[in-house]
Amino acid sequence: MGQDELYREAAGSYGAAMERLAGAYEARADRRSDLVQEIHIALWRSFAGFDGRCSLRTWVYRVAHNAATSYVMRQRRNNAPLVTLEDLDTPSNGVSAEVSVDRARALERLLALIQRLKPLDRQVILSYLEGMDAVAIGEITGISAGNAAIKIHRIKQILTRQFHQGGRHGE
Amino acid sequence: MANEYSSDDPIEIWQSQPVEPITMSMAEIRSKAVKFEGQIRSRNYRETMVAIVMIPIFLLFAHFFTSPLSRAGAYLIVAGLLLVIYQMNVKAAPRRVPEDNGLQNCVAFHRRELERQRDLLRSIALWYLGPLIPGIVLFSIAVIAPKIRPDHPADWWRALPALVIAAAWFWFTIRLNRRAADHLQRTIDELDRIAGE
Repeated sequence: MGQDELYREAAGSYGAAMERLAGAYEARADRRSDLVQEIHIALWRSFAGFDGRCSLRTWVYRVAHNAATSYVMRQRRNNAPLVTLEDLDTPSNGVSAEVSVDRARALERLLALIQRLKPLDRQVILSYLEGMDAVAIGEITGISAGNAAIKIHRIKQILTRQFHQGGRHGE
Repeated sequence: MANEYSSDDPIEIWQSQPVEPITMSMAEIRSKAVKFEGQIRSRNYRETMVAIVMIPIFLLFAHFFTSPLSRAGAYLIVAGLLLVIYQMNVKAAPRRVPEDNGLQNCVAFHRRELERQRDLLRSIALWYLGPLIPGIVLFSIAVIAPKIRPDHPADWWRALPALVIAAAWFWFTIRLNRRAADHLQRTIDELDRIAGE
């Protein structure tokens, strides 16, 4: 497949995921479409060098995360410091659990949590939320599957506390 | 992977959020890619405005000052400013995402970008401050020298405050950038540690 065909397939299969990913990297709605376009341009350009060494999904997510990280590094001035999962994984972070929250508020809270994270932890939690397992997350991010599994475990604990629900997700 | 979603499941909440994927034709993608390149190149323009404003000022100095030394100093400062503007827009300009970034995992990509920024900050004395030093020194000497009385060598001390301020500015700029570079190095070390686990 050529560059254009690969891009069309990626945009068709992962277009919605790219929108969600952009929302996790750019809180301001008016700038989000710039990031989405930047990701799509990076994707299209990247397919000139796609050689099938990894799956299309891994390629798409790597390019999207790398483009978004590059965007954050350029934009990030005078903002609040980013934190790690370990920083969030403490009972004293001031977030109170609620038995039920409506979906809009829940999504808002989830986005706020993700947007506070450092790039690597943000990549892991986004991959997890997109339904990926530890091996796939390792391929995209570059950390070992074991390390990814540990991070997923921590993410589940954080999300459980924040959303007050039982964990269940397959890895 | 089998997922059973519940109504307040974060994965379900995440994946079912309302989004409208953008659709761009290939012609749009190509034209936006070209436009985007231009935007990337122009990002440092605001940061070079100060340097651009300084150029006419020193050209005026070069025009109105009569001594060859002060004119040479002013021209050297203008040359230094032009070099700094060039470096800021070429060497230190934000880069577009490289085409091979799909081959790189996120840690490797992030590490490479951090290393690039760290090296730029560490070498700021060479590419940002260095080109300005010869002109500033020559211009300062040219301005101060006529005020030195031949039989009063202690007059040179009058130049001290200006030189101290200039040196302090250089030192402060280097120190500030070194600190920022050290911070980036700590982030790189942290990435290395996590990737090695």
